[in-house]
Amino acid sequence: MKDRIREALSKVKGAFVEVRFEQKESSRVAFRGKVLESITATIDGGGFVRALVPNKGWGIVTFNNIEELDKRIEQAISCSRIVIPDEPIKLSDVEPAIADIPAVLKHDFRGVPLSEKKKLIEGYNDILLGYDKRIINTASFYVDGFTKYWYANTNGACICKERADVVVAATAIASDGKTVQQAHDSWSSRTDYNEMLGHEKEVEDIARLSIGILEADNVKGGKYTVVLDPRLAGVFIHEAFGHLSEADFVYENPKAQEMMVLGRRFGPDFLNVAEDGSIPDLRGSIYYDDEGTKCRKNYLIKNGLLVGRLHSRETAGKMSEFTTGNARAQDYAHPPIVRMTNTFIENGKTAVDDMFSDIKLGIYAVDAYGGQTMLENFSFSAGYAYIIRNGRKAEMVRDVVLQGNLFQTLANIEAVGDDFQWSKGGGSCGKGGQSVPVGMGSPHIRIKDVLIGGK
Amino acid sequence: MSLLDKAKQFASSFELYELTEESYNVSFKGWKLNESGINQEAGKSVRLIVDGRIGFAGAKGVFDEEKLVENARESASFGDEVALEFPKEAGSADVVVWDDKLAQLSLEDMIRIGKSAMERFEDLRDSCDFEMSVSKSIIHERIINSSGLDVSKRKTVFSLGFELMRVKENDILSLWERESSSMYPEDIASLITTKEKKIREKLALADNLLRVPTGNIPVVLSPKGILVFLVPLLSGINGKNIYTKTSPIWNRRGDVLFDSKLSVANDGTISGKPSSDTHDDEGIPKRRTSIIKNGVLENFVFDLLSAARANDASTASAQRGVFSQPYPGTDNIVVEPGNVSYEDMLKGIKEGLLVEDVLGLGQGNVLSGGFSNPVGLAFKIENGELVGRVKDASIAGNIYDNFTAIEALSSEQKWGYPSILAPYVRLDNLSVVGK
Repeated sequence: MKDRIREALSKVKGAFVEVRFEQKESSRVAFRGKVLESITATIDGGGFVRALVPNKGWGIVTFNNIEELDKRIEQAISCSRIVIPDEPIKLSDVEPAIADIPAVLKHDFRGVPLSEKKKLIEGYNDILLGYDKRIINTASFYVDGFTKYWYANTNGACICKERADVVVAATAIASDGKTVQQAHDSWSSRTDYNEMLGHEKEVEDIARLSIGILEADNVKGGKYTVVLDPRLAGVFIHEAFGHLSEADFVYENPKAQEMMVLGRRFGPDFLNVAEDGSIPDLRGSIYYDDEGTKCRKNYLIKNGLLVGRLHSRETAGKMSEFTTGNARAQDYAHPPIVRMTNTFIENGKTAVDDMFSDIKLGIYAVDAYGGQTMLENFSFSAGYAYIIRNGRKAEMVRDVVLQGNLFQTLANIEAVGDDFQWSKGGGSCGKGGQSVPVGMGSPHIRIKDVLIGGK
Repeated sequence: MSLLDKAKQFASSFELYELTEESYNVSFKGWKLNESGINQEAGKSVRLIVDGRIGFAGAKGVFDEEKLVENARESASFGDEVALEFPKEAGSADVVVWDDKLAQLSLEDMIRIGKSAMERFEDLRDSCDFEMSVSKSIIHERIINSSGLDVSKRKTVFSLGFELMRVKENDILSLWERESSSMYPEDIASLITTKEKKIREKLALADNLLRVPTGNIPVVLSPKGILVFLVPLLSGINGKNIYTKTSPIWNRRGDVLFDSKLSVANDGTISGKPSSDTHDDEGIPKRRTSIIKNGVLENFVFDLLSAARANDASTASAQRGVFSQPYPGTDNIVVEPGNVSYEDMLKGIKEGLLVEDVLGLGQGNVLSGGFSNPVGLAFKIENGELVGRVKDASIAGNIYDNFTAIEALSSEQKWGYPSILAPYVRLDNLSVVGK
């Protein structure tokens, strides 16, 4: 395949062309309540060609049949020719990388029969269903995928990668006849099927939690001092800050560049935020991005000051900054756009107990359902939460939706804990109609004056 | 051996699905034409029923058809037992979703359309960022099953969307408009004019940042803002949540759930709309189905499988991709209008909030009907007029409580989204948290 792509590229004259090709096999088993909703294997394969003729714009073609590669390259070049931009697209220089990164698996899921995968997830699902009569439904799934990936461009880059993913997720949905509540957890691995085994106790915790949430009272809306657990803090920094540090938001917009000017204070001295797609085997680790740029650690906030942002070759070229290895595509059917990989708040110095001790009335918010940012404003839902009363974790409350403005909220961070951890779940992030796996990590953090929505 | 013959070998009951799609796109970024491209996609999937058990597999790219059928058979050997019968052919809905002129639209034409729209906003170049995309898709699908059904359908889709983003110090404002249609718009210039007018109105209002008080002030949901209601409702009537009995209204058909002014229908037969079609994705002719009639819950939305599991009948609501079994989904959602003009609706409000969209819709606990969201784009109503933009506020409630008493529905209906036709809705009982 590598040779096939290189040969096609060797015929290209007078244009920059890059080609990606992917072959993926995956399987999925999903239960919804007692019903086996799907058990299926899929085969996917296709290619992506992007051409840039000097002084023209991008021409992009995606396709399924590799035999058509030469024709598709010609098509992409024709698409590029008709795009006449007011200002030529300038790509930042990147050393053409040659790399071969095979997946090294401890226990390969491809050798596990579908029947066994079904048995595994059915077992977890049965634990949820059998826990309490009030658990009226579940959503439990097992999914794995193995992708072979080739990237090459006319600058001479040539990268072969393999990517393995296996995820188990379980959700318990509980109802008392009046309201419906849910609790969720998931596990993911890039290397080991066996990491999906043996979670029976934690699955029971999900069931217990769903009942706990059901019995909890609604949180009373208002402003609180809030302690976020590492999982929610990870979602928070991804949603509230990470997206604004994506350079495609600022590179064509002078006013946005003023707002996101490097050196601007975003948080307290003890706040450090970084991004790194090169850490082995995390959910968002890609090693090389979809433009062939090698990933590395990039600080975004250092000692509270904005020091970096995430780039593709196009955004870095335009802003005369270094590219960071953050151009990612969902798959062969999509162009790369600026995305996060693994985003995290670095460890601070505050012991977790000390964060709680002087809070008279506050919220301890744990885990996340999801979040949305609309530029500087964000909203995200805690999986569940507790009232903090007189320095202690007290009763559980539910329907806790944290809302805020990025600038105020980051400035309101009062403490960063010393208990950093990566989220273990199978998180993905959506942007521009593309979903990619991402990693998040953080210690506990404490923020004052957070607006909590509610009745 | 053809895929059909192989499927026959393994199962007396089967269904094949084929999709080919070609999309042409041009996009503008930062006031500049940036890219043009062609996306081509083709795939097949197979559903088999073996010994009463259902199996499924799908594939794209160059693949071994034998392996595809074998995957489906393996899936069926573990599948759930279900009394599913594939339908016979039963005619076709009377709807037009194909336009030869649109099918022939070239990338160059699309670039011209994009430029003509961008030029309208030239005066905002210094204060705003501009992004735009124009696309057309040509979709061919074929469904064949063991009951003798062989349905081929085709569709053209034209889409145009643009976004203006303005950053002023720490305030970011994003305004967008989208249009999507199965026909090439007769008068594209006037279409763009309408969209331009809307954006400029909002932009002018946005200069004035205002606050609203906390409490139960009147809230008007625009034909876009109505999603606050529709997202929980559509999840509540989805066949998957009916057979699993997780919808809080799974057993409430025939009951009064909402204000008697409220009627909602699902209509897959509106010509020219991208969500319309001659058949659903299991080959059943599309139709119009009443969901809520004068506040009474009349119907759910089912595909074959969810219907079989709920002992009900398909409502021609199957949707699917190559890699997924069909699932129930809605077509065009039509919320019936009321009898108060939008102008009069506003006139009656001394202090209120007009909500265009909110953040975080669909996250959290949608099924319960509850919502609690900060506003994305919202405007303040004062003495019957829109006077400025409201940024820091949130609304909360539950559709099964708050929509039992709707203050008014406007007599005007608008397409808030390409598949949502709705009036403005005034509610006086939502909880608003201001700052």
